[in-house]
Amino acid sequence: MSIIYEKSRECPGCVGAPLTRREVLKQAANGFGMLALSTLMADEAYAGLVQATKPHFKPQVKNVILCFMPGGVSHMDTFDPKPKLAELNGKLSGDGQRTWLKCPWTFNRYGQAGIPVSELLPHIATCVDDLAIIRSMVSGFPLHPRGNILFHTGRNVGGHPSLGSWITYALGSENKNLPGYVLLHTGDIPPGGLENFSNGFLPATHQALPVRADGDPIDNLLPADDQILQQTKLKMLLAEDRKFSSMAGTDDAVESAIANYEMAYRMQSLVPDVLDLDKESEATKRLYGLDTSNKEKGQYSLQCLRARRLVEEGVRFVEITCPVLFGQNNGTWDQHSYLKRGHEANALVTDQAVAALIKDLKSRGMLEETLIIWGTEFGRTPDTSNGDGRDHLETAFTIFMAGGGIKGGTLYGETDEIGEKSVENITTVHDLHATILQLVGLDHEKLTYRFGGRELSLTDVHGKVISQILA
Amino acid sequence: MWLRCPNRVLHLEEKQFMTTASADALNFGLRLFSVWVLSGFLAQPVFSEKTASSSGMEFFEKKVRPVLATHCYQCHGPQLQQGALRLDSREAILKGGSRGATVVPGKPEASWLMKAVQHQGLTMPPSGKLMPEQIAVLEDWIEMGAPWFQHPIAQIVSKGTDQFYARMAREHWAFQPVSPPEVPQIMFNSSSNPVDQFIQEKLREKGLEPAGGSNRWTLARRLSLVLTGLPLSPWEVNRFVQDSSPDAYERLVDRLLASPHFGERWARHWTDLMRFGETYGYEWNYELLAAWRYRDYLVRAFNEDLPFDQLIREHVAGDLLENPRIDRQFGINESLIGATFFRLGEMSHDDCVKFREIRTDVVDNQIDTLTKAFQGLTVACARCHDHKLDPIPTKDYYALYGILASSRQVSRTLDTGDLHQELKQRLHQLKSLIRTELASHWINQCVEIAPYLLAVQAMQNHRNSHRQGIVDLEPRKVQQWSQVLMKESVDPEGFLYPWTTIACEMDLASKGFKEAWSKLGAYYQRESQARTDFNRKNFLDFADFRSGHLNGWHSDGIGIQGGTTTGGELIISTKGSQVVTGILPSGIYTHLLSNRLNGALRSPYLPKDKKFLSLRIMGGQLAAHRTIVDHCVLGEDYKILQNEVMSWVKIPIKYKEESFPVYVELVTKSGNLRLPDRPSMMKGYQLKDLEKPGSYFGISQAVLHDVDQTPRDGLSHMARLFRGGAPKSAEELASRYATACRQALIAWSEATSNSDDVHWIGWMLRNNLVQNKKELSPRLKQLVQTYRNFEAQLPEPKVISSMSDLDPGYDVPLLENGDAKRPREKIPRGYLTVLSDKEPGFETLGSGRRELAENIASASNPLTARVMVNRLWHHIFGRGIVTTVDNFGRFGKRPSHPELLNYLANCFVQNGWSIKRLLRRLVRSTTFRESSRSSVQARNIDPLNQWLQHYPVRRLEAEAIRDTILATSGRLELKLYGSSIQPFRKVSKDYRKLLSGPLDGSGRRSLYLKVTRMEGPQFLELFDFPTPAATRGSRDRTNIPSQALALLNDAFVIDQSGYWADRLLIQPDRSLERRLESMFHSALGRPPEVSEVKRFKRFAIKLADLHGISTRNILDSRKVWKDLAHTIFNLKEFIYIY
Repeated sequence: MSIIYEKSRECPGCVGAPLTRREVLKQAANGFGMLALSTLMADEAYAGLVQATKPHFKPQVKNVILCFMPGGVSHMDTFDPKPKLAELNGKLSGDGQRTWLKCPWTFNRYGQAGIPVSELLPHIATCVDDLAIIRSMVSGFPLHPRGNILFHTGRNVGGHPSLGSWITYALGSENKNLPGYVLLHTGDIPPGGLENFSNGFLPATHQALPVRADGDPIDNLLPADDQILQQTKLKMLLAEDRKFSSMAGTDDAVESAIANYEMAYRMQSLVPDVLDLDKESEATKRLYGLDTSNKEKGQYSLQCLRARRLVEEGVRFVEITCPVLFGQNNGTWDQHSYLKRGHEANALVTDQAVAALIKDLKSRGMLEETLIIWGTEFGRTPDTSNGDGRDHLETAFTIFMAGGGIKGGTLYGETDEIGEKSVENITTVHDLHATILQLVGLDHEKLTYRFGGRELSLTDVHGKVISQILA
Repeated sequence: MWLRCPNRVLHLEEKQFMTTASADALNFGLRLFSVWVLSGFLAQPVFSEKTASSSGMEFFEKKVRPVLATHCYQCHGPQLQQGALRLDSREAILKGGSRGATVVPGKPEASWLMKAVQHQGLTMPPSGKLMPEQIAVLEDWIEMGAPWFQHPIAQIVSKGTDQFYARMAREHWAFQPVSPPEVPQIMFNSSSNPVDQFIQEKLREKGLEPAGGSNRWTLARRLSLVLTGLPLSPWEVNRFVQDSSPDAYERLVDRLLASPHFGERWARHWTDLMRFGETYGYEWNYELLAAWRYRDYLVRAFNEDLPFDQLIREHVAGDLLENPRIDRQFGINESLIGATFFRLGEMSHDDCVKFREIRTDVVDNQIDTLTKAFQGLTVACARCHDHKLDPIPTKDYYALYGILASSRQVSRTLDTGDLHQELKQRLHQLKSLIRTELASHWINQCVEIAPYLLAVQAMQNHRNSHRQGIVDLEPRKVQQWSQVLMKESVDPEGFLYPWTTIACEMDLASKGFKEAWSKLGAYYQRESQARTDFNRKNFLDFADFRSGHLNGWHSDGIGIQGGTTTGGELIISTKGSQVVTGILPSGIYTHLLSNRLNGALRSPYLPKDKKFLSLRIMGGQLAAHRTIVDHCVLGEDYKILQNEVMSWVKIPIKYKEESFPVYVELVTKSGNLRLPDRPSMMKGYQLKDLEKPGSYFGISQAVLHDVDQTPRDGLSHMARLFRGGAPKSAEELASRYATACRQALIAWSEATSNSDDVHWIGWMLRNNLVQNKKELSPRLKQLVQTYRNFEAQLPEPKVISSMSDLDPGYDVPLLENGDAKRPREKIPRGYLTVLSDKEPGFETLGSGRRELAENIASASNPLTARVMVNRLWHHIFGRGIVTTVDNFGRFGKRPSHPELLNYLANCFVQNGWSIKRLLRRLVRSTTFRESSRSSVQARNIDPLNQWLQHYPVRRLEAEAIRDTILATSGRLELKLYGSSIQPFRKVSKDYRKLLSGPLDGSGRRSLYLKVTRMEGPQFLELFDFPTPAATRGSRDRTNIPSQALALLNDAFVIDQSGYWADRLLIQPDRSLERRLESMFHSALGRPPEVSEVKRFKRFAIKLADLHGISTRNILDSRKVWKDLAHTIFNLKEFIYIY
């Protein structure tokens, strides 16, 4: 890590409270002129563009796209077939209040490896040779907010940085004019709220920039003035601010605030340009399903295509969340009842575009430097309390990854014969985080940040890299 | 990097998963180990001779120990040594058990361990064979020579730690007593302020010259923004600049310290420490009951310069103070509000017994906030293990945990009753007059009972004997009586049953009648007895409120004060022609005077040896009974009451474990923390029902039982009809009814009614057998009207979330690794050993918060004053003397000016913990008045400006930016206090309590914008407004493009630019120059320089040109001035303190 610690006087092995990056730069600049320093910091340190650390390993991928499916996707209805449930269907389970529920869809085998995928996800099924499917995930909490927050931040309570924040913090941004972490959403934030995408105690630069599918995609990005008027104002501001800066005493924070106006100005035109799909071919749009008449599907497809464009432009971490269907406000895949209708509707909205993203990146040769994660906060129970829904299950669920460094066509881990518990190669969210960090070149044990008197990390004391799914 | 804290331990029951989890825990041990080795504080860990290689150790830690720990230690570990064998140390393994050496290093084939796990001659572990790879691991390990490493956790909790801790307590600066240092005397310094002496001594030592004084404009702006968060008005600036008296500055300081906006500014600073939020977050973001009252409390406290030690006492134990602070103006108990601070963290509604973390995280957050905010210590680090850096053992954490765990988190009523007292008295008097008046009418009306009963019965029987009377009877009353007769003819519980079934069916003169009558009488007697016996046998009294005693229950609220009745109390109807809505049996009620008054009644902890608690209660308008388990106040377990008359409600007593205290509470709606509930739970009521005043409940009895039934009601009131033997005629029986009623009413009018009387009156009232109308007499009408007028004036009680100690405190067990499922020995409640010279353990009857408060609010506590003066310094100078303002522990920064910190801490305490006096001292210093222009020399020697050669330039906080925009545009509404304004949102989500407010927040200061969890006030968050999760004594000051985008494009900024332009246009400015000058004064607190006027004039003309406006019309162009205003809002000078 590049953060420099003061040596503790009493304890040569212990490191003391860190200097902020700014302090480091200042001290490093001690004795040199301040000018170069100011420029350097104004431009990069303050905008969070510089890397906090050199990669610990050779990075396999440059960018990450997380397709998050909030609400809890049923694993036994998507990637983890449980024929036993067909036998048990309708019989009483456990406490006598509930009955077993078979999967209402059929599974077929796909790809060279013959991996079973349910008919719910026909498009993703065609990509299985690129996927490493982990069928033995476990989470800590069968509750949406805690599950979501755990999945994103490695903790079950808010206030900690999200995975995307850690990565952008560590690696900086590749594009000066775009934020490093972007959240593509369609209007609803999953339970747990913005804390899921928060920078926590990391500098605010590393929080997710939310981008809406409809309306103004980003707050305050639409210029309030026409270009000439805005430029006139900016020119005036630049001159006056420079004077203020020297009048008040050379302060690099003022200098970097001035520089931010430059970046803000550029973002106003660049970001809409990146988000704008006009230059995409009709074939590409069709691939993603943008030709649909289904509003939510259209929005989700749009966000997936935007995700590709954003990583093309060098955005480190893009997350896409799902639209809310049927007015459910508890997470889209949360089918405690109407499993068939609900999962089908959600699959319809997301399946094609996720598959398109994989195919599109692959055809552009970008899949090798991008990591795609398809995930959810927990799984669903093999039994039902009301005959047509499944409840929360934290002891087994499925996620998949694709892209650089991933061994395609892999099935990893197993659940028991009814899908209630992960039994083989049990994988925690921390393991997943450790693996993702490794793929972007970071050691999850070394990537830490001092806050509140402690060195904090994404995986806390947990996590081990899942080497079996790596190429 | 080196220390990874197992702050959260996942609870997974799967055996397989435990393997991973314990491996993680052991990994932790390994990482920890390297720290201790490096640090060299502890005894060296124990190595076996062959374990020097770190890969071997790692292999052991990661692979072998988890297998042993999971599968072997249970029978061959510290607790049990089956076959005299232990497997938890290398020596023990080598020594082996009764069969000899378990492991022969390097020789798996000769090791019993391998035979056992391969089920050769032994079957281990007995629960089932290990996985093949686990067996392979053991084999590899033995082959490697059985490397072993004894990690030092055991030592941390024992002696090594004690010595280490003792040394830390002895040596670390922050734990040393605050001794007043000698103030250095600087010869060349003209300032007599000791602050300057200390600062300048350091500067001289470093070879630095102070930057020199600021000009008056700069100084006035700096001072005002720092002290009040608002710019001075141009008039005030001018007043100060023109003031040539030598103490002009000092007087400005005093004016600003006396400003009511001072309190607003410092209240907001304080709320950063208190992780102040007004909703609970998580899925549903429940409302935190009137959290804004806590914010207002802080504004008053800082404005009144409440001594800081008192502020601490109120925060920690405000509900327990013997002499609470009463605010006469508002008629409220101020001290009670302080304790709201415990309640401000986030909380989930889910079952906290099933999900233990919900509760333990709340308490952890309370401990974390308490110790960081008041002591600058990271005590929460000791949740899972002894603190690695500061002398805080885990047992100290659980000593604190016990204090907080045994405090109840409840709603409390702030009103002292003063505001209600006079009105309540009047209502009492009026009620008594109404009762007398009403009783006299009703007693008269009893005359009609017998004739109507006879006449109506006759009509039903088609008998003619009483036909002549009927013509005089009122048809309406005939109708009424007919209905009652119909209704009560079949049910023996009915009052008219004896009449309809016997008297009307039989010839009263017959012999058979007498017999039947006495049989019926005997039936009632027998049935009464049987019910009494049943009740006595099956039900144990938990509380009997009929006597007027609280039976150890705890009451809160204006309505419930004096809400006891021994029976017969009337409830006056507040609308329509009805006089009363009911006559109540004896018990405790919240609505005896008005249902606008509130109440809460809380049981002691329920005994766990019975299956049910039953309550005889009534209630309505969203009053509820709730069951609170382990103080999880957002629990689902509650029912809205819809019983207009007393009836039994049965509540199962769940959670038999002693560790989960359970109590029930009855609350009027304002005290129900679940309301407004989430949409799917809001069955039968809507948000607007919650906003209407009025809610009530009453209770007479509480019983414990195992039978799955509730107690049976008595029948004693029927005895009145059977006195004096069998009636000789229908007339006699009819008049017995009349007499029973009359007797009840007479008793009632004299306020001596018993429960039978109340039964009878209730019967009459329910069946409209007496006229319940205010039109009975002009006097009655007037009395009722007067009552209603007064009732409507009752102020709404002020209810907040606070704390209370209603039970003896209890100690909690230490949780191993912070895991609620691994309780160890109980830890006596007490304070941090390092800060307390007494033996651990508080001798209190309650939770111990009183002692806790005294321990913190103590002049001899080495941290309290230091931490606070450092926070004050931080806000005045932009960084603390200790820059890690929330951490004074060993890993915090050391003070840049330790003597100054001591000096200030000492002054602070000597001056009665007065915050204003300390701040006055700081801002009156020359140091505060230095210019912000640094010298080249200073930039080279001290680039961080830690020696304060010049005043540090820094960006304003989010609130100050928004407030300054409002102040400059003229939109600022300088109103103090009140419920929060929802922040502006583009989309509101009512189901998550994320509502949208006006774009300009009604012009109110940012302090009054609602701090919602999930999505906070967006404009503020862009400028580092903190997430209300943990204590945040020092905010980030980030510089991100979104800030520039907001100031350039945000609707609020644009809107305010227009507002300012509109105000400029109506000013009679004669020239561009004059107007620009006035804009400079409003926005920047200074006159423009000549060159600035020139440039801005050119700019204005350029803008006019762009808008196609001729120079002549410039002064009247809204567009031009809006653009100018907008540009000025975007000047860095506008958002920086310098």
